[in-house]
Amino acid sequence: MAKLFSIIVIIEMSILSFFNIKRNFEKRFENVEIRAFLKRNCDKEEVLKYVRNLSHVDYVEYMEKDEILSEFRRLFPDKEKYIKALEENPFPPSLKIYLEKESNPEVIKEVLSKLKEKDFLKDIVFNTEEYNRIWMNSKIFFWGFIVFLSLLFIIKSFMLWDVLQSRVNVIKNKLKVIEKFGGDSGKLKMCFILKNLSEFALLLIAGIGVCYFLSKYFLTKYFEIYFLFLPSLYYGLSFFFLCFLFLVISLRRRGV
Amino acid sequence: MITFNSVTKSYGLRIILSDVNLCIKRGEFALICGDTGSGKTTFLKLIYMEEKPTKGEVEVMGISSKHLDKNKLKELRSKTSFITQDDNLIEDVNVYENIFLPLESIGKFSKEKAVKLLTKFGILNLLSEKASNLSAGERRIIQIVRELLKSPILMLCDEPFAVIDKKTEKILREILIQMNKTGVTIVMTTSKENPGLPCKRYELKNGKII
Repeated sequence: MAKLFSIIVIIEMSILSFFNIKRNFEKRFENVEIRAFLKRNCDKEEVLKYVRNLSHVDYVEYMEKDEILSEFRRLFPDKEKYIKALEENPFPPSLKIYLEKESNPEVIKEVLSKLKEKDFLKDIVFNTEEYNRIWMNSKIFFWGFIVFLSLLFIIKSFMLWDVLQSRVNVIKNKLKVIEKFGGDSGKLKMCFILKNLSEFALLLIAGIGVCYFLSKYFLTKYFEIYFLFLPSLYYGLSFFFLCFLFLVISLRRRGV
Repeated sequence: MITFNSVTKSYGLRIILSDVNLCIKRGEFALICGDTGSGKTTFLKLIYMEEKPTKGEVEVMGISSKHLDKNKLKELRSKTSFITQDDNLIEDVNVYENIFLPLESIGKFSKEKAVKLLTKFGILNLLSEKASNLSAGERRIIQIVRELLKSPILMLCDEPFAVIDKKTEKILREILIQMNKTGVTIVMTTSKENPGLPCKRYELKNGKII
């Protein structure tokens, strides 16, 4: 029972970690912002129309030089020296270009080259190298974690199989004796299946409950791992189905 | 009650029983004697329908080995007790469950009777003990108790006194005699020359009943 409970908790924690990391990954590369400064005397409407129609662009914000200045003031209220310099020599109007969800380096490259094709831009502010590096590192970590989780899942599945096999062995011995005794084994088989399934369900609820409280009072605070209801529900149902499947296969394999 | 019609039983080339004809009447106390390997256990297994004859037919309580199905086998076994040499206990559970589960499966479990019999054999204290922790003698007694609680019409005993002490043997002897008096047919195998029981003796030699 303790073995089964530990399997449930470890798998649930792994699934929660996976979804949290996936969420953080998506968040990090969601709506990437490219800042483009316009040349003086270019047609604002024409520029906006062009940029908005570019593929992978989610939305565009146009900012006048006064707006840029007030934004700078808001962001850096203590940098009076720079604010004064900007007042004397302000930035040209600019565009804040937000890309679609999860933009990979190829998409960025494509958008940047499209922007550079036209001569209405004075400068584009985007650190491609840094972005590519972060993207690559995150991808390596993400896939590494998936491989780790898959291995963990396989190991835990074997452990689960082992637990169920030993249970099936016990019932098999019982049924063998009862059969030799001339008794009816149907009731015992049904009791065995119902007992095991209800035990799985209870352990599952307890296991997910433990993970919920762990997340709420510890993991969220220190590791930013949040409890996610839907993945937990899917996990619960899949685990239950897997146990049921394993149980039936074990019983069949042992000729019960 | 039990009829052997030209029964031959062989395992591969080894012939255990050869053309055996025998009739054991209802209420009889039959003692099957013979040397080790003479086929005594096989003889009982044929009656319990655990083995099928290679040739011929065994008929027990009107059930023939030739027309045997699951239900008939169940019916036969629920009315027959078989004290085997391998004690047939469930290793992973305790003594109580070892008695309760099989008896409950045929609807014959009675707590009072079980306690009474276990007390008589002096093993009531073993109820919560796991079967795997018991000695050979204790295991045999548990099996005997379980089989006696079945309240059978036919009792098959394969060397029942083999691993038990004198005191237990005496109790079992008394119970068997008492059961036989109430009409239970008993077929018992032994290698002992004189078991001291009021029984009809059959000798198994070279695969034949003498």
